[in-house]
Amino acid sequence: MRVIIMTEDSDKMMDEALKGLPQLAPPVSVWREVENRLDALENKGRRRARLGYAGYGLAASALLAAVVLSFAHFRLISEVELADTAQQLVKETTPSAQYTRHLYSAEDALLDAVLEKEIEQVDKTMLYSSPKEQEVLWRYRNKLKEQLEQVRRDREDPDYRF
Amino acid sequence: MKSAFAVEVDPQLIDRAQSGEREALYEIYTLFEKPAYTLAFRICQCPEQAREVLQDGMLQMVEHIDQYSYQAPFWSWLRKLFVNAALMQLRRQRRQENLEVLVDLPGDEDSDRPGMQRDIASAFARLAPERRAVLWLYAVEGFSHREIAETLGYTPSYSKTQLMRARRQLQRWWSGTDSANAGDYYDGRQ
Repeated sequence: MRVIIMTEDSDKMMDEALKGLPQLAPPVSVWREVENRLDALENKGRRRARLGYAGYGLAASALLAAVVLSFAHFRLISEVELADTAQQLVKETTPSAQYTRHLYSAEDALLDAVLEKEIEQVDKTMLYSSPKEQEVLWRYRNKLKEQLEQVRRDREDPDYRF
Repeated sequence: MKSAFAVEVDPQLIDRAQSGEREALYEIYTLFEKPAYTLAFRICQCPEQAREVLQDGMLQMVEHIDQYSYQAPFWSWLRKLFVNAALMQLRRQRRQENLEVLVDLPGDEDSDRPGMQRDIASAFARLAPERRAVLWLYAVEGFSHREIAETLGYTPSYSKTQLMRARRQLQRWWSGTDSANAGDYYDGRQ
């Protein structure tokens, strides 16, 4: 049996013993999970970019229509002049935040509804499936559920879109 | 002896990782995999939980690396993520209860180590989770009491008290002057 007198020296000795403990390696690497998240982040980025461009195009069309109407209302101008003015305005204007927000929330609502419907469908199918099929369906259902929860979390997150 | 976390990282590597380059992120992952897992294992004393902490911390890293602004060494920024993830894991676990798994865990990882190392590892594993975290952060990672207090959400004097008690317990167990059931022995219940 070792006898240790509790002094600063023994504290230091103990600290050194703790520091001297070996480094440990995880039994299995978690890089795959990290990569999955990276893929998901990249997909989300691409989706945002796609929606951003779509929003830009739609807003530009709406703006062009408004320009045509207002110009036509007040005076007659040549088509060339009108197109030039509209193109200039389109270049200078970005889609309104409200419009883009509307597009995003419509997309999320759609995704939410589709996932919910799919889960309902899986539940019904499971009733008439073999245990083995049920196991597969259950895993699929869990994935759908995770996605649905993620969509809902994102929708509630104020930093998600803007 | 410096913390195993204190690995200098080339700023160019950080820049590449911040721009989302996967190879750079993987390089950082491999640099910190062991120190992060070790920290997590020492605090949680459970391989599965340590792996979860490793995963959570690494996910935080890839998601927030663009927020790192060179105000402190990269390893210290990263270590903070892992300490928080490990403490979060302890809190989750406390909520789920059944802390008895934490008691008398010899830690398979240490079973083939020389006697003295195994003794200290086993004695350390028997400490109550919070004391264990305080002792590890102070003695091995070099945190100050103020930093520990900020991380745990308590006062510096609480950290000092926990450290003192942890040391006292550990010394008794390590030296074999105290039986497992005596005194401050942590029985896993709140």
